[in-house]
Order: sequence, then C-alpha cells, then structure tokens
Amino acid sequence: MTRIAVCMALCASIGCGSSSPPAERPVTPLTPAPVAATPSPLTGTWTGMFDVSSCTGSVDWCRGRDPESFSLTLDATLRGVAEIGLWRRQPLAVDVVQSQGTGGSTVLKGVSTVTTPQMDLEIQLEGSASSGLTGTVLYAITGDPYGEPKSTVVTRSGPILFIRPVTTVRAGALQGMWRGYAKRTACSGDCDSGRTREVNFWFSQQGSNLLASFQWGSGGRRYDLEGTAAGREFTLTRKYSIANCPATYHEERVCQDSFDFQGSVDSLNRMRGTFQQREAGLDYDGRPYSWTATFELDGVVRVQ
Amino acid sequence: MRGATVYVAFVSLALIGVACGSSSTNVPSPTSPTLTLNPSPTDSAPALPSFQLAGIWTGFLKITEATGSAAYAIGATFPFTLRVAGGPQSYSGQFELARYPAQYVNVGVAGGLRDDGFTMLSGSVTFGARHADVSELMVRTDDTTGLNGTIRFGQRGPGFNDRFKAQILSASLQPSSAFPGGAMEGHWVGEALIKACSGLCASRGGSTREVELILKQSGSTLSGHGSVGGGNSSCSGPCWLPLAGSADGYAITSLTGRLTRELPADWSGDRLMVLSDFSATVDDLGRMRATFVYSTEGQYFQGDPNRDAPGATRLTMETVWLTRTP
Repeated sequence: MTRIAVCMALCASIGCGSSSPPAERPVTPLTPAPVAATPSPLTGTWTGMFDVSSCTGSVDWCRGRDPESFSLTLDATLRGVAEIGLWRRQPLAVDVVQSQGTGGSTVLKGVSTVTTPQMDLEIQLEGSASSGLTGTVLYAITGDPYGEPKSTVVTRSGPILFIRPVTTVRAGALQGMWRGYAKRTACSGDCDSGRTREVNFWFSQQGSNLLASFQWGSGGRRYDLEGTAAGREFTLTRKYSIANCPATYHEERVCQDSFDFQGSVDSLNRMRGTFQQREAGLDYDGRPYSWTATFELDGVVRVQ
Repeated sequence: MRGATVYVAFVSLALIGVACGSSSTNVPSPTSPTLTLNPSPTDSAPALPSFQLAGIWTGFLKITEATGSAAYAIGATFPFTLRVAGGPQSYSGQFELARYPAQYVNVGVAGGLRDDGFTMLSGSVTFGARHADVSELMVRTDDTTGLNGTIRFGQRGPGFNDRFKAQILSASLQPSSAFPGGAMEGHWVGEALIKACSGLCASRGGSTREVELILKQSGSTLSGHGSVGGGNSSCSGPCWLPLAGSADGYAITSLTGRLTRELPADWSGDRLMVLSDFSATVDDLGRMRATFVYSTEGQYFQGDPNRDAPGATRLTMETVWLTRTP
C-alpha cells in the first residue's frame, strides 16, 4: 500500500507538472528543445492564418507579404506536425515538439526533413484553447521561392490572426487530400536531374477500396490509381498503355506508365511510403525514351 | 487490506484529478499567459463513425456523364465541398466545385428528405452572362463512405454550355465550422459582380472579380486584410488592403480599407485602392453576402499605345458567392 501511495504521489507530481511556475528563459528560436513531458493542452488538429509582418534576408522571398495559412496536429504527449503555407510554394510540413516558453506560453519547434527548401520553425501560443489562442509564427527558410536550387535564407514572422480547432469525422483513415514532397532514391534509364518534387494526392476511400489521384506539382499530369486499404496501410497500382502510339509533332507522348505505391498514415496525419513509377514514350523530337524511378514520400501530410 | 489498497488508489487518483483539473480553471492574464485544457478537438477515423447530414462535407466525385466542351472529363475525379444546415423537412446548403472542369459551380441549394432515404437538393445562380445550376443533388450519409449519392450540375456562359452527372464517392464531415473569434472570423474566398462603374469603365460592366477577406474578430471589432482582384501590377500577387471595421451579430456594419503603392512612371496599375461602403451578413453555413465599393486611382492604358494616363475607377460590387474556407 505504501508503494501504491508513493507511486500515486509520483504520478501526481509528473501529471501536474504544468502547475509549477514556468522557468524564465529567453526564447531561442530555431532549435528544438523539449522540456519535461506534460500532457499537452492542445491535443488535436488546428488550422489558422498568420500575418507576415516581418521578412528579412531575401528580396525574392520578401516580395510577397500575403497572410499565410498553417495547420497543427498535436498528440497527447509532446509531439506533432505543423504545416505552413509558403508564398508561391507547396506548403511545408515540419515535425514539431512542444516546450514551455516564457510566461507560460507553449512553444512548438521543428526542422523540416525536406531540404529544398528547408524550414526551421517556431510557433508560440498563448492563452486558452477554450477562450481563444494567440501567438506568433516564425520561420527561417533556406531555398529559393521559385524552386531553383540556388540557396537563399530568409526569416519571416508575424502574429497569428486566428486559430481554431478542427474536428473531422472520416469513414476511412486514408480519406482526404494529401500534399508534400517526394525525393527520388533510385532511377534507371533516361533520367533527369531528379530533385525533390512537390506531390499531391487525393484519396477516396470506400471501405477497403481505395481510389486515388496523383499529381506532380500543382499543374502536372494527373494519374488515377486504384488499390486497397487495410487499417492505416494501403497499396495502389496503375498500369496504362496505348497500343498505337505515334509521334506527335513537337510534343512529348507518354505511351506507357505504371505505378506501384505502398504506404501508411499515422494519427498525426502524416503519410509515409514509397512508389515506383515507370514511363515510356516519345520525346519532344519523336525519339523513344523510358525510365524507372523509385520515390520516397517526404513531409506528406493531410490537408486540413 | 485489499479493499484499503483500492480505496487509497481511488482517493489518490481522485486527488490527482482534482489537482490536475484545477489547472484548467486558470484564467490567462495579460502578464502571465497560460494554456488551459482544450476542447478536445479530434481528427479521427472512428471505428463506428456516426454521420449526420448537417455540417461541412469535403469529398470526391467522379464524372460519369458530360456534354459540351468538357466531355473528356468523364471518368475523372474532383474534390467538392457541400455545406448543409437544417433538418429533414427543410435543408439548405451550398455546393462548391472549385476545380476544373467546372470552376464556376458554387451554388446555393435547398430541399428535403425523400421516402427512399436520400435528401434531394437543387439550386441555381445567374450572374452577369453566366449561369450555374445544381439540378439534382441526391445524397445520404453512409458508414462506409461518409456520403454517397449522385449529382447533376452544369454551367453556361458566352461560348460554353457544359452539363455533368457525377457519382459522389466519399466525403468527410466537419460537424462545426465555428471560429473562436466570432461569425465573421476566417478566410473568405469568392467572386463579386460589378453592378455599376463610374470613371474608367471599359469592358467592366457585368464582369466579376475575385474577392478574398482574411478577418480577425475580437468582440465586435474586425481587422485583417482584403483583396479585390484585377490587374494590379503595383503588387506582387494580390494587393492586400489592411482592413478595419465592426460587426454586430451576423452582420458587418462597417469595413474599410486603404492601400497606397509606389508605381513606376512607365507602369500601368493601381496607385491607390480603397474599400468602402461595405455591408454584409453571414450565415451558419459560412456564407457571406456583401455589397461594397472598390475605388482605384492609378496609371492606365487608355487607347494610346505609347502612353498610360492617370485615371480613376469606382466599382459598386455585390458578391455572387463568398464562403469561408473550412
């Protein structure tokens, strides 16, 4: 019984760590620094927008001062995912950890696994989830706003305009729009330079049946795939070919393509997986080409 | 002994609950902001989902029939949004298909529950020379897909008349779209019709402009940013006017904005943009109906190919649709 009482007292001290006054320390952006594990008061999914009131370091990046959107999905411990809508770019997802900031605020920090561009993120939240949150978003990004490989560094920050909790009921765990990046891990045949590219998926789930559309970037060709879902895991395939594939004057022609895609999603709305894409056809000058490449998803999250 | 152990454990757990629970009653102060317990937002795929029709649905449909210029779209899938309020006897809603092939379909719908379990909704909108309609939207909730049914819709305008039939494949439900700040808060996106124009008005009557409002609400006070589309070469992308105004319940009683920009001498575009005379109401579906005046002054091409001349335009506008991003 004594052991149980001690255990309870210990559990109480751990569980109520948030009742102790927070240590005063300066906010040191851009370096994740988790503190003692306390149950998160922010568990769930949130969406919002923030003002870009400050932008330094790159004329290109700072030309746009549009308000930017963001989403957060946070679990009951100290971890989560933030997605930030970048000016003229595919939004970037960042795994974040929570820590306690100055004055009792909550600080979420993380660094993207996507490296072109790469984001170093800090979100500071204050107030009450029930009566309203305020805060700031600050990120440093390395890369070019137009996707070129040249390296520029910029820091953008501003106050949160609004943030709200989002409750979504889904019949299937995979349902929804997913976006992020894919990096090529292998390629044979007529391969291009193969930088990390933007990907978009639309998953429609009907029980274990899965229909998906896939698109490279926002304006690329769309591919329809079919497959099956089992819990949070899935497989998708596609085989396309046309029997007669004559050259078209000064136009690339895809005569065959195929996809084999395996992946899974987690409770933080992240998708992981790899897919192999094969393509054969006629190039701009009518010459045959073919390639087979393997891609790994990087920073793919569900759009909230 | 065993009973005493259980009792101690129970009391200890109760004390923990009380002690921890007390933190949820902390009131944030200006000097010491604290986070209290959350309203438990979730993002889940429950084992036994329970769906109601009222709410905001985002899902996918597959085009099964198409006539007109978009006949090649048969077999393609597209995302849609359906907002529904009310009950079985009388539902109202808004159907939105924001992507090609039917980017203009954003239609208010209404209807009720039929004997076969499907809810039948329909509606149309005409603005300028364009018309869009949902002639038949039959939907019902489904534990496997969230939502299923069919829809017949179309759009027509100068040079096009497209009609589609589609199957609703699946959808997810947001039961509530409430914002903590109030009914006006959020990101509003839509289209507004130019009802009247004075000043430089060539080819502007009856046309539409994209409208975006990003509003923060604190009590009755509104602030944020707004843009009214158009060829604004003085900005990189949309010109965002800083906004300030006030709300009363579900109405915006005032909202004004003013932006001045430097414009190189040899550029066409707006140097001054002013939003005024703004009046609007919103509903629980996240729809706003607004009228406003958008005035610009700047440097514009006025017929002489070698010279842009100063000019001013005053547009009286009314929203065709303006919905809050879910």
